Amino acid sequence: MKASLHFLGLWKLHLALAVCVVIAEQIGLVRIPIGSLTITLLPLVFAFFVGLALNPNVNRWMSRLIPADFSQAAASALSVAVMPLIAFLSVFIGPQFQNVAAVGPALILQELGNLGTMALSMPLAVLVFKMGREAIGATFSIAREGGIAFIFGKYGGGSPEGTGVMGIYICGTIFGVIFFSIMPSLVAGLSLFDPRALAMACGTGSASMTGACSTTLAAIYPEQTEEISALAASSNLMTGLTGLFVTIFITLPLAERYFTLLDGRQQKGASDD
Amino acid sequence: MTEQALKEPSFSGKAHILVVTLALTLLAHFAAGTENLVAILPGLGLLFLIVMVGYGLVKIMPGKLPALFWISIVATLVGLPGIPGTAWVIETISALSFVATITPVLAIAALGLRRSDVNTFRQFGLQFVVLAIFVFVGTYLGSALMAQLVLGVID
Repeated sequence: MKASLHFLGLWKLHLALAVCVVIAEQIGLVRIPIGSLTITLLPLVFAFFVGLALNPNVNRWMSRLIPADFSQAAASALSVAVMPLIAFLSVFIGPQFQNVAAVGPALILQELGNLGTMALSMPLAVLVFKMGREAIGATFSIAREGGIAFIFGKYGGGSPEGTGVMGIYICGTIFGVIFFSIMPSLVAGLSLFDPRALAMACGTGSASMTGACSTTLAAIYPEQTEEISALAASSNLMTGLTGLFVTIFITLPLAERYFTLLDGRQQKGASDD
Repeated sequence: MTEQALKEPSFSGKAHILVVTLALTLLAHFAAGTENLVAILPGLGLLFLIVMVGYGLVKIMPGKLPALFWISIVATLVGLPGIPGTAWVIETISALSFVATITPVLAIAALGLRRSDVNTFRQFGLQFVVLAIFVFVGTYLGSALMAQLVLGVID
């Protein structure tokens, strides 16, 4: 990796990015009806898959055309490239302030809903996959950058907890955004939830997931586009603000106890056999 | 794991990355058939400014708060109603399509997968994929359920 590589000088990478963008936007928005549900695929989904096809680390054929280390430049650019999305979403918080304030308690309490992450996935990790302490790192949160930093800081990068958080992080990187652009349309199709609740749930602490999620919802509820954007952005900001405190004082202590409980039960079950 | 640590781009490096990203955003609008491309240029410029001011605040403000926080705060402030000029900001940003703005980001994410990412992923295998799906569904439904319950009470 040449440290002198300049992001503007990486013309092959830029060309590949341009190809992704043009193909994706030419395909446009695709609606796939499945029974009574509709999956809404945004151009971002196609941009991602064209990008995978052009990535020399995924598709060996491409390594003749694009040097593999270009992915390093794209990876470090990503953290900056998502910021215009954050700015875009946050601009609409102000005009929607009354709507956001009106649902303030919901916005704060839904942060605790993130505990649903662990409730559902920890038993699977411990009881079905027989994971060790990897389970803590893998299921305590949605494993974005902040979660990695926290787990690495507390347990170390090479620890089982560190491996767990990285596993989910990489899955999230690879198909998290795709997932968060498909899942909201499926859940919205159930007609069980208020669009505002679905919008607040979009705030995961990951800019690209939040963006994909709220964009999909806005396509489903076009008359509520601005309110959805504002709620998703506020919720994302809230996760960013409170996430660390919730992690330190609530989520991680609970994850430790939950793990001990499940692991103890499993060990006991195993010795009974 | 042979994960190379990602170097955080310098201040000018960030500006360059933003220029490339926003140029791709312009291209996305063009490919999506936006009629008046000149009309979206001020919006792209505004996004650039908001993000760079946010990065500037990270440097000078105490507390080591993440860039995400400052950029979100700056963007919220310039959109607050009742302050002269904010109506123009909202109108200018509204000229952009969010769908087209997010497309280049996913292209960058896909091309940013490194060999080590792909290898680690293969090594972990299917278990982590299944687990990740449970994590995502749990997070989303947990939050939606909580929000729905509270909305039911306050509405």
